Amino acid sequence: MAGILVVTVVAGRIAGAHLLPLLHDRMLPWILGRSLGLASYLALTGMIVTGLWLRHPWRGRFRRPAASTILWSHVALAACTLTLLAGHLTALALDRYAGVGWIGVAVPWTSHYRPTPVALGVLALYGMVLVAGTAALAGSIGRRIWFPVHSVAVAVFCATAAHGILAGSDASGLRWLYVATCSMVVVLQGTRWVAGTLQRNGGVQV
Amino acid sequence: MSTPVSIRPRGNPLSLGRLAQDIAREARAAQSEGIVADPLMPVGDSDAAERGVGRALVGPVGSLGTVLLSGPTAGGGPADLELHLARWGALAVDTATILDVLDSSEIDGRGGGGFPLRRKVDAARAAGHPLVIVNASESEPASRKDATLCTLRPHLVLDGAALVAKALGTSDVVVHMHRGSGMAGPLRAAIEQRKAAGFAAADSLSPDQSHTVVDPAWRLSEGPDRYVSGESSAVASSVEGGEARPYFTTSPLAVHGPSGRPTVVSNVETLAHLAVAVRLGGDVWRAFGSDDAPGTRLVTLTGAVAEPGLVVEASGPVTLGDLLQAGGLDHPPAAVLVGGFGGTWVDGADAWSTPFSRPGLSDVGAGPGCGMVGVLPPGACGLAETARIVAYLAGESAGQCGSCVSGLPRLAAALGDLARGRMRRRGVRKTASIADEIFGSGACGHPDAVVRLVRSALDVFAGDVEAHLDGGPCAGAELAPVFMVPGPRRIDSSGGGWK
Amino acid sequence: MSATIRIDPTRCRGHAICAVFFSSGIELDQWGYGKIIDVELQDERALKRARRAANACPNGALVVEEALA
Ligand code: SF4
Ligand code: SF4
Repeated sequence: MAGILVVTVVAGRIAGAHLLPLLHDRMLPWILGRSLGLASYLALTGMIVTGLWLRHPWRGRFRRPAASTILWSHVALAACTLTLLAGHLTALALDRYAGVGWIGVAVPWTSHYRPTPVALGVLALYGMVLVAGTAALAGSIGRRIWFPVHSVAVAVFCATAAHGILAGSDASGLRWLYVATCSMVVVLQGTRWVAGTLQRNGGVQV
Repeated sequence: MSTPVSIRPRGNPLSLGRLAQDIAREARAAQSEGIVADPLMPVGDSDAAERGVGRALVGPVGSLGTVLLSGPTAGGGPADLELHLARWGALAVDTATILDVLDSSEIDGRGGGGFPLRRKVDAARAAGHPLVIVNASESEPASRKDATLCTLRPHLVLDGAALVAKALGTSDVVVHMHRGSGMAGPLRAAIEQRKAAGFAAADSLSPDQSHTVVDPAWRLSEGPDRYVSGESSAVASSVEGGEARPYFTTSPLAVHGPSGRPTVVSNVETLAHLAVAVRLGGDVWRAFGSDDAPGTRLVTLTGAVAEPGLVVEASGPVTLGDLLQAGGLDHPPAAVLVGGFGGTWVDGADAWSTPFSRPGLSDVGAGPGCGMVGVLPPGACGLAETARIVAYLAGESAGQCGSCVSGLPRLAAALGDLARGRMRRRGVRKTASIADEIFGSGACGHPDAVVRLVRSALDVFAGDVEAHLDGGPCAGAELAPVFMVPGPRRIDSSGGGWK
Repeated sequence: MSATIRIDPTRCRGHAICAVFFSSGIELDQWGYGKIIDVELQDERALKRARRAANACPNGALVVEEALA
């Protein structure tokens, strides 16, 4: 929890730094919503990165972090993401500045504020809940369901990144953050795919 | 006992052959008189013996201590059926006696596992329609004992298999070996002789059918020549048309083989001993060994011995030192590699007086394994030898289990670095932790064997390890290899080449 | 109760999910492959968790066996 708070505050500072002058009652939920959104995006990125690295063919070459550390960070980051997401939604539902509203955060394309970017966020939300929910219930629903569903996570990340870039009112200030996180995921996924294919076609690399 | 055994026409099948009679009589006499003869006196016409084949050691039971390999040596060629029957007599036992002999002799598996044959047979008897597999896949590159036995005494092996088949009430026996091993020829010839002699024909049954051992329907099968392909589940899988790779099971093969049939996989030496024990009686057979090591045992001597590849038959309470003397040594070497390349290093001085028995060897952390005893001479570098062996064994992983695939090459690299003097102190700890991580993690015992080898090397050559850490490789690391280790291959997990 | 859990190392691909569902009984080695801490399952709770882990493993590499009483 403390970790979540710290992340929120830090993200809030990044997101809110140049919005500070606008800080008055009417803007508070918006700024809070923005910073929680950014924080959950960062947690999501961490989750995706740990998830991809855990299954990366090259991980065996590195002793640290240990597999179990990566695994448990992956799980903890998922919990973080969901908690921050809940905050992000509540704040934006209450916000009057952009006026997304309860319906806007729950039903795609009902928001008056940037309908499509917000819709991407809503879809990603459902994807995230689906992925996390099936994983949490994996022990009961079985491998045939949860495991294929888990690969939806990459789509969730793409939708989230698009949502953040297009829906946020300050994306330009965070350009490098988005470039860095997205390229990290692309590189990981790409090398994972290439190395995996090489490995299937030839012997195991050691 | 260098007198050639005369070939007599096949007599009464119920009587023992001449050698068997002699052995039984001598054994009884020795027991009553308490004779302890000079152990390990080589017998047989050693000049006529071809390199490494058919020389025998005599133990304390009279002068007839050699059993499996007694009689004509390699120069005399394989024992054909007539000679075999003249020496040992025909088989005539009922199932109850076979089981009794398995019990009283306590024949243990000689392929490396050391699992009591009786337990396998019991497990397979409980279920229906068993399959017997004669495991002639001698995987250890330096071991010659299975090849020697199959070449010189094929009928003892086949007799043993027929006995197990009878005990299980089955007629399905497959003899499995590595492709190109050279064992197919003598075994096939032996089977032909038996068929020609009417062994399998129904009209050859004596009236007392319960005592007749009818030959089963022999099948010969060959699999890939890979190290782990000699492991019993890999052999069973290969025989049933699958890949010759070990597979994971929760129940023993003898209960549930790859096709669901109870499958008894037994090493050729184990079966040959059964053929002898049934004729002599389990107790007499037992007495050829010691209390800790029943029966005789075939041993391949390799490394820095007079004749690398020499197979000797040890009987009586033999020590490693006795075996080394048979290899031409008169004082302890630097170290001894016991049990195969996937075996254990034992310090030379400790080894000299260590009994060559399961309990005796386990006191020094080793086991008889496939019966290989390798000598490291003074001045040679045990770490360099180990590095070559581990590199070879790592490449022999079946490429199926994660930690075997990931861990063995890591161990091999570490040992290589250590041997070349490129490792730092921290690396030794890291190597030990990789070893701990791999141990017990595979579907077969392959990684465990490598780990034991590495651990014993770090222990026995602890002084050398220090020297390599401090001052680079020793002079011995530059010398020509003592052990002839095949070159390593790249682990192949693509699944090709395993049929 | 007598039940066991085993891992088929030829199937395990190191997905690690088993360690989430049965953290008290399965650890991960340094490459992320599952390692059974104790083959015997001590109580009903362990059995339940072991079953969940076996169910969740994407490769079906875990084998939980319960002896018939
Ligand atoms: S432990 Fe190694 S050799 Fe044995 S089955 Fe697994 S991969 Fe093959
Ligand atoms: S979940 Fe399955 S594949 Fe993954 S580590 Fe556990 S047993 Fe192995």
